[in-house]
Amino acid sequence: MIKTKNLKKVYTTEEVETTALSNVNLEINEGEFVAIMGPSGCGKSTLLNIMGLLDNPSDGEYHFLGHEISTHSERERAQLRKGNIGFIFQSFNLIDELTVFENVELPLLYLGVDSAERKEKIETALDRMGMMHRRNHFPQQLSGGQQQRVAIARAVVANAKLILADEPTGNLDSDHGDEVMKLLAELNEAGTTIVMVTHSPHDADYARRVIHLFDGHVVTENMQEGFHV
Amino acid sequence: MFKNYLKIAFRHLVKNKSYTFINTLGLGVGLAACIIIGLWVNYELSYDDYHKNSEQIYRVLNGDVAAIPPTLAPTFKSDYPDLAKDVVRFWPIKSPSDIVYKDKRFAEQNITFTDPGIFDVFTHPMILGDKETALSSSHRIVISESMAEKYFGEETPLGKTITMWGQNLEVTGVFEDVPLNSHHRYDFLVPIELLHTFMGNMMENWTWAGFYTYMLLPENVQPIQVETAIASTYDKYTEEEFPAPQLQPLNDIYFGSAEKDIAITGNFNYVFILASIAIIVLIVACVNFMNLSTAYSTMRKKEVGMRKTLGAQRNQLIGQFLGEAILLSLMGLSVALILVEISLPFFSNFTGNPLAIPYESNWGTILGFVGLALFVGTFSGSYPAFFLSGFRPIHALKETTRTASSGGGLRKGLVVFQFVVSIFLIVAALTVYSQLNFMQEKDLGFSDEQVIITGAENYQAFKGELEKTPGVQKVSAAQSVPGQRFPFYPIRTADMAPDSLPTMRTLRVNPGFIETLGMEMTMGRSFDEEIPTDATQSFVINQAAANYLGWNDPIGQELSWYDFSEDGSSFEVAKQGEVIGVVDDFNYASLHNPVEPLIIHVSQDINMAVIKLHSEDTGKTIAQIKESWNSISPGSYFWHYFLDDELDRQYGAEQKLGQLFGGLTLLALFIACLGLFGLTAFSTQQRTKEIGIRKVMGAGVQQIVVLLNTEVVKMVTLSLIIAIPNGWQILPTALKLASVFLQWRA
Ligand SMILES: Nc1ncnc2c1ncn2[C@@H]1O[C@H](COP(=O)(O)OP(=O)(O)O)[C@@H](O)[C@H]1O
Ligand SMILES: [Mg+2]
Repeated sequence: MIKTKNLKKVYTTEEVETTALSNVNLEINEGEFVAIMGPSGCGKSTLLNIMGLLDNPSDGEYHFLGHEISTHSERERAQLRKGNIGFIFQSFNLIDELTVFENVELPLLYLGVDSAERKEKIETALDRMGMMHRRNHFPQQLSGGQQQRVAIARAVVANAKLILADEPTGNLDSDHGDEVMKLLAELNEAGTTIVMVTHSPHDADYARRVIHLFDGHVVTENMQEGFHV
Repeated sequence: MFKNYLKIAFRHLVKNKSYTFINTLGLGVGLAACIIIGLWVNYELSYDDYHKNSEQIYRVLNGDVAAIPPTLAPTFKSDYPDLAKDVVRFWPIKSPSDIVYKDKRFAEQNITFTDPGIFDVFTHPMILGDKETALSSSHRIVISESMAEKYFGEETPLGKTITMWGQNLEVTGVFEDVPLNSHHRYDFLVPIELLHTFMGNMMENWTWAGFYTYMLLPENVQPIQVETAIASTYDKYTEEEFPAPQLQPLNDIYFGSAEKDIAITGNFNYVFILASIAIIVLIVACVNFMNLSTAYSTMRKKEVGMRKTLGAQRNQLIGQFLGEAILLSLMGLSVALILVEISLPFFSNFTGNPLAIPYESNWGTILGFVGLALFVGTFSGSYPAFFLSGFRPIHALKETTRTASSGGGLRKGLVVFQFVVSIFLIVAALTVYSQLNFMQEKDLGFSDEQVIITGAENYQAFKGELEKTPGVQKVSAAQSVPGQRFPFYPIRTADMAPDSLPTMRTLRVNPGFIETLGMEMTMGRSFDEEIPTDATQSFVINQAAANYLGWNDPIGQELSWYDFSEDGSSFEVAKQGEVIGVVDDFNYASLHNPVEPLIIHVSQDINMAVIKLHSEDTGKTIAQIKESWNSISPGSYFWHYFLDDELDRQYGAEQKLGQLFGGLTLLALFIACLGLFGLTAFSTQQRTKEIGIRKVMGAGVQQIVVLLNTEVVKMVTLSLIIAIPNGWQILPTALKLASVFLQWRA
């Protein structure tokens, strides 16, 4: 599903050049649950953004679903992203002026799904995340754990093949964090590919494979033996 | 999707109330100014449009002169019946004449002699009477609705007899009042046939240029054909050399005044300038909108980032934010329409134009307004939309965003731009004001203060009484007074070729006129009652006439002045004599134009008494004058006016335009301040944390106020620094603008 070859990312800002990623070679297959770990600033988010087609690599190749996309325009990337990739962020990134229902509806609107089908899909997703009863609330009226569940509902509502989660439990206490991890594990069980950035070894235990990044390099890749359910 | 956009737009508007309020109010005020000025411009452009045939109606000019001989119309009609469906003349009377019905007697100004075809050429719906026959014989009169009301009240006017110029005229029709947006208006229409009673053979005279002639052309006739035919008519019937005839479209008359025109006309420069200023005000409002929306866009960063992450294309986001801008401008439009409704009556009253939003009459108006709002929304929303939609998703979603200040430079630039524009407008407005003051304080060349003008019936007896009235300083009489149009008469000097007969404006007065109005003699003397030849063979000319005639030493020069012959068939010498004095040029027509050559001589052919009062107790003096009038001319209506009031009124149009200019300038400044206020409020909101920390560190309220205002002070100062030196530089330009504005000719 995902294949990178000598992936490199350099940020150039006024005089300073930061090499965020260098020579990253990775392959992630459909149905995997991969955790990316590493110290702050080592390039985890950068890698995730490139995988999520939010950014272009500076050099190297990136194959997503068979497309070589490192030279795709923003427009083409947006098109490919739509419906295929769901995102979960540390800070949830729900839109404050939209209700739970409307936030989850957003990806479907951009996919042009008709209203009846939208309603059905949103309700399924919210049900799955246990958020149906809060459908008409605004994000600010929810706890962090609830907000993240809404964000997950938004990520899955369009049946994305790949979910990218950047420190999804970073802003949550451990109980709520566990809840979120369980939901992700369930999604993976059901066949969704998940790539997750985390600082927490506990969370990483949910994944089948852990990739360690250090200073823009992949240092180790471990296959987990057994994992929690 | 659209519903989603609408929801989020409304929720943002509700959430950021001060943003919404300031934007809506700014746009509302800007749009209201534009709509009102637009209505006014539209009104000014609508002159004479209401005539159904307006496209086919032309006025005949000889060269640039609007007044032409009475003979052209009937001759042309009979010689070229195919070239004009009808030809109609106007001969407006120049000074007020008494109209009498039973015990009602008023001096009326709006009396016009005309041809019966007037109702076929022009559109004046008849309320009573038959338009075919209403003016078909000499002793008839057709009156306007408001005159019918004034003279007849509840009675039916038809068949009643009105007296004018000693003639009994039968009222044969009542027409709807002539709309205000007409270049020439009349309340009384009298057949030109009646004029034959007074003028006799003059009506067959090809040299008497006093008639305004209008033609209704058939669709297939080109104006050029008619112009050629008029030229041949002149060639055929008269030796007189006329400048090439021209057909002036009816709709061009109001803005294209000709020489010796029928009425004071409009000024396209005013229209142009006010329209430009209104557009500038709207642009200032749009810039406000751009600024505030861009500033507040930082609040939408997360939304933009998320929408993009979810696959939104840039153009979808541009569409969304443009839509929001249009929504806001539609809200601004509703505020504008309310403001217009409230202020329009005052504005109409102020300009004297009956303005109204023609909601009922056409969808076009409504579509026009919505179109305006769409345009304003798109214009002012496009920059914020491009700015917002340009956020890169990973940056927009970053926790720490430095973008609160991004675009800040541009924003400050735009604020400075607004203030620079406002200050320029202020400089221009001040310039216009000072020019107006200059005009008002300019020496007219005579004194118009404490001077009243009244009728001159039984003048000698009236004068005797007036001289005994203690409040009266001086009394004289004249055929016309400054502020009116002095008629042209032919003159001739010894130096002139025998066949040339140039015309010159003529003022007929009684001795003492020049002194009563306090005019200065530059050479020679003025008329003296004690010297009998002054009444019979003396002229005073003005300096312009001396220059025109090329006389360095005018005193004693021989001059002949022509009037109609007894039978009216031609001009003949009516007075022959010499110049006894030169009067300093005084402004008898308009400060907009240079003083024209003028010839003054003594005559008993007078219309009005000119009375200079002592400054105390003028009210009492006028009451005494009225008493004298009533005892000397019982039953005759006593009318009077103050000369300075009347002259002030003539510059009223400019004064009003100057005030409008000033008002619009203040609006621009108001909107710019509103925008600055909005930006300050926004940055205060953004800096709450900083302020909190500073407070903790012990900063007082005062220091914080200073902190928040330095930015504002900096921007306004920068605007002043840019605007004032450049203001001086553009001052000549502003002066030119003002001089165009005032049609000033130094
Ligand atoms: N937009 C950017 N411009 C410049 N440097 C950046 C940008 N984003 C990230 N970086 C730098 O790239 C490196 C990797 O960042 P990131 O991928 O966010 O690390 P992580 O998510 O592992 O903490 C860091 O040194 C960071 O400062
Ligand atoms: Mg990170």
